[in-house]
Amino acid sequence: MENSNTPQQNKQQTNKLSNWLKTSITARMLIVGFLIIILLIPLSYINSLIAERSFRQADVVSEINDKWGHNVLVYGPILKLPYKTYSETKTYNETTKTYFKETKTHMNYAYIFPERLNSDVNVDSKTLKRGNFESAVFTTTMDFSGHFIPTDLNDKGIKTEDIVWDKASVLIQTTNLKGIKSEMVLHLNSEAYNFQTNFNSKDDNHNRYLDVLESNFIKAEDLSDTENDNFSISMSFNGTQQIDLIPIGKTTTMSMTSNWPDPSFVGNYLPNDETKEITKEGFKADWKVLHINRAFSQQHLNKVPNLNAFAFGTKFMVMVDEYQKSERSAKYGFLVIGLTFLIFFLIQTMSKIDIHPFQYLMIGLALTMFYTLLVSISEHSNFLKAYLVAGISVVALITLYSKSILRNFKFSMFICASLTALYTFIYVIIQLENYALLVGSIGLFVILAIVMFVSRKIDWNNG
Amino acid sequence: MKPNINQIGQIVALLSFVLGTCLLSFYLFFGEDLINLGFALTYVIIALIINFIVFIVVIINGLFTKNNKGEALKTCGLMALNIPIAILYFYMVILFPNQNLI
Repeated sequence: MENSNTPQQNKQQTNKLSNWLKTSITARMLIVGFLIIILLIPLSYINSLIAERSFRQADVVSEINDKWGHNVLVYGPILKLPYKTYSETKTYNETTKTYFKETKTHMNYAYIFPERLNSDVNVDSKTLKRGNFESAVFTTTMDFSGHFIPTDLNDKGIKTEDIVWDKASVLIQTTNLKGIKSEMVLHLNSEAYNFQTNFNSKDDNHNRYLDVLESNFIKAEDLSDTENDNFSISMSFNGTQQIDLIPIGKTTTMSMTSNWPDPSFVGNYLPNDETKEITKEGFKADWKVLHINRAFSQQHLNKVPNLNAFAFGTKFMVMVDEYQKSERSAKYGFLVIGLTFLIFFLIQTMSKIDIHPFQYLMIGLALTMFYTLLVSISEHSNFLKAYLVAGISVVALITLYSKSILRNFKFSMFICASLTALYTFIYVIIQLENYALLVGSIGLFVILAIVMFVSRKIDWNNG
Repeated sequence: MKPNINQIGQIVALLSFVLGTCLLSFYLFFGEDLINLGFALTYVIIALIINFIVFIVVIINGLFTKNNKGEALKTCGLMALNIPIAILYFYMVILFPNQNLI
C-alpha cells in the first residue's frame, strides 16, 4: 500500500492521536479501564496464593490427624451368632438305579444388636500446632453399657438348636483402630473377654473402611436364653475432628461432656435441646434415639449392614476461616480497584490535574498488595488485626502518594476518607452473613448516587 | 488525509496487545467460566494472521518508499514486540497455579 500522505501530514496525524490520548476524557477512561483489567492479573495470582495456602493448611491438618488418629465412629457392640443351615442334593446312581441324598451343612452368621445401648463419652480436647497451622485433637473415653435380650431367631426361620452358642462373639467396628489407647475388655454378665482385630481380605461387607474388633468366643452359659445379658465396655481413643455413634440399640442414649467450647452437632440426630449446655469452658449434650426413629431392625443375617447414614455425634473443628475471609475480600478486589480509580479519575477530570497511567498502575499495585499483606499477617494474627494493619498501611501509602501527585491536601484527605470507607464497607460485607447482600446492595447504591452527584457537572463532550 | 500503513500497523499491534491482555486477565481472574481456552486460542491465531499480513505489507511499503524506512522499522519493531509478550502470556496460562488445564 503506497503512502499518499506527505511526511508533514503524517506528523500532523500522529500529533492529533497523541493529543487525543492526552486530553480526551474518553481516551483517559479507556486507559484507566485497561489498567483495571491489567490489575486483574496480580489479583488472580493473589487468589491463587490464598487457595494454595488454604490447601497447605488442609494438608498439615490432615498430617497431624494421620499421626494422632482420625475421626472416631463406633458401630457396636454387635452379637455375632453362628448358625447352621442345611442343603440337600439328590444324585441319581445309574448302577443301583436309586437316588443318593446328600445333606450339606453351612455355617452362617446372625448379627444381633443390643436392646439397650448407653454410652457415656468424655472428651478432653486440645489444639496441636505445626508451623502456622493448628488442628483440634482429642482424647476420649467412651463407656458403653447395655444389654442383649435372649436371642430368638425363630422369626427368621432359624431353630434354636441350629445356633452354635459356643462360637458366639461380640463385634465392634470403628474407623480409628490406630487411635485406641487402652486394652478393650468386654464384660458380659460376670465374665471378661478381650478383643482382637479381625482383618479378612475376603470380607465383602459394605463397611470396608471400618475396622473390625472381635471378642473371644463367648461362653455358652453367658448367653442366657431366658434373661437379659448385660454388657459393659470401656474404650479410650485419640482422635480428631469428629466423634460419631451409630444408634444400634433399640433404645440408644449418649451423654457427651467436653472442654471444647465450639462443638458442632452433626449427623442424623440432634442432642436434647433442654439438657444441652455450651459454655466457654466446654459443653454437655445428651442424645436419645429410639428404634422407631430409625429404619433398621435389631437382627441381620449374613452381613453387618452399612448404617453409617444413621450416625450422630459432634464435630470438633478449629474455626479457622481466615483464608476463607481473605478469599472473600480478594473477590472484592476488582470493586476496590475500580472504585479507587474512579475517585482518581473524577479528581483528574474535575481539577484538570494530570495523572499519568504509571501513577494509576502504582496505586493499583498498592491496592493489590493489601491482599498479600492480609493473608500473610492473618497467618500469625486474627483476621481483624490483619485487616486493620493491611488496610491502614495501604490507605496511608496511597494517601501520601496522592498528596505528592495531586499536590493538594484536600484531595489526598478525600482519598484517605474514601478508601477508609471502602475498606470498612468491604469488611462489614465479609463479616455479615445474612445481611451481606442487603448491605452490599445499599452500599453500592449509595456509591453510585455519590458518583452521579459528583460527576453531574463534568462536560463529557468537550473533555 | 488517509491513514498510512505504518499507523495501521501500530494500531493493529496496540489493539492486539490490548485485546490479548484483556483476554488473559479475564481468563486468569474469572477462569474458564468466562473465557473459554479455545476462544482465546482462536483469538491468538486470528491476531497472528492479521499481524503477519500487516507486518509483510509494512515491510514491503518500507522497502519501496524512499522517506518511510525509519517509520516502517519502528512499526515492525512495535509489532514484533507482541511476539515475546504472547509467549509470556502463554507461559502464564500454562503455569498458572491451582487450575485444571486439559
